[in-house]
Amino acid sequence: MGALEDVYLNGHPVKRMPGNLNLSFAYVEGESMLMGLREAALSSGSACTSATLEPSYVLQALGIGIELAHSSIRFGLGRFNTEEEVDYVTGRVIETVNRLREMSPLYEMAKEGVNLKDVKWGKH
Amino acid sequence: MNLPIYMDNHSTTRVDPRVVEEILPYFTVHFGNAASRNHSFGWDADKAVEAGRERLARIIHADPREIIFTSGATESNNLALKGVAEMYAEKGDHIITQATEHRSVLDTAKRLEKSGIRVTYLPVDREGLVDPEEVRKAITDRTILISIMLVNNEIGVIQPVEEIGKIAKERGILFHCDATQGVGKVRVDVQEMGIDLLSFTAHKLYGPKGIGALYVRRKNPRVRLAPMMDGGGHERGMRSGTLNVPGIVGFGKACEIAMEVMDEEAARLQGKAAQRARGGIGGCLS
Repeated sequence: MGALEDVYLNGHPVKRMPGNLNLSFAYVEGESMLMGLREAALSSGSACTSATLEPSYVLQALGIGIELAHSSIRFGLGRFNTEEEVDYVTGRVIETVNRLREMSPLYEMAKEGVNLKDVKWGKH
Repeated sequence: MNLPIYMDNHSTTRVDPRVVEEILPYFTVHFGNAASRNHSFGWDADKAVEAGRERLARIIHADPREIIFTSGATESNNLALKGVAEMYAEKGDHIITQATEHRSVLDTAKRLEKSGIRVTYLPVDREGLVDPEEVRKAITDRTILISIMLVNNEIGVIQPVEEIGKIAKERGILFHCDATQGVGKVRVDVQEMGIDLLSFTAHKLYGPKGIGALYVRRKNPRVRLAPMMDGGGHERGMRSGTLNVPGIVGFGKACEIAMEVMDEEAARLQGKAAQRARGGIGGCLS
């Protein structure tokens, strides 16, 4: 199974509750990921209302940038989850992230060595 | 394997079938009002409530008389903050909490600010943890309550609650802990952690929705709360309203099961499953 690059764990690596995994997948929007992953019930770090999409105030309090906050997914494992389910969801997450990144111009630019922070965005 | 796969257990959990089984007779057979004093229907219901109370007390190392039933953790958090602010108004008007608390603590604190309470919202570090020394520094002679959660609902980090409890005790300030995500998953001990008020709820630990509890310390110190719900004086006058007997029975059973399986489950979830997910998804997690 090919592991993904540019994935960040949110929250302390050890002082955490068993079963929780909160990850940010750079260059991928969390809500898009969940739309592509309908067979798994997960939660994204964006609070989505009909009018706005707010990045999580918890992730922002950690100083995580808005982009990575919007790229976060919370996995909440529990008593009734099996290893088979974990493997299945893991595989599907990797597929989905790879597919979305392939479609992302930002990801392409980053791979070509462009520092996205230096990009001059055009005015609309 | 059935699809879709539920992997959102911090939002809510499936009710354990053993819990459902224990609840069912309390809808149709033992349906009495726990406050009915004159017949066996009431006595049966009351007995079930007290058995539930004991099971809840055990999982947090409290006395059953210190458990107040509510509708859920949101109500427990509201009751803790508002109840203390009103009851201890003469002693002070300052509350300390932190940035990543659940909305039911943050929004309650904001509401209290409108009525003149001052609130300090402490920051967290990059890993999501509060520095207990920051808590100590924020204390003033007007501070009446410190409210810090045990486990964060989004990122799962465990706050240094025991150290904060110690500081609160030293300074004689009440300490409330929203342990909604933690109870049944990680060890909770209100004695060792120096907690005076603790919120938790059944539906996060494989119990039913609509039933929660607030632990309210009775000794060293005896905590008093202004009620938010007035009425028949249930729950030692702190929360009036007919008790949700089936919910309480289910909450009790859920706590009992959680205590039994906690260590085993923690090992299972931290072990293979977590490693596979972490290792598989992000080969080099930074």
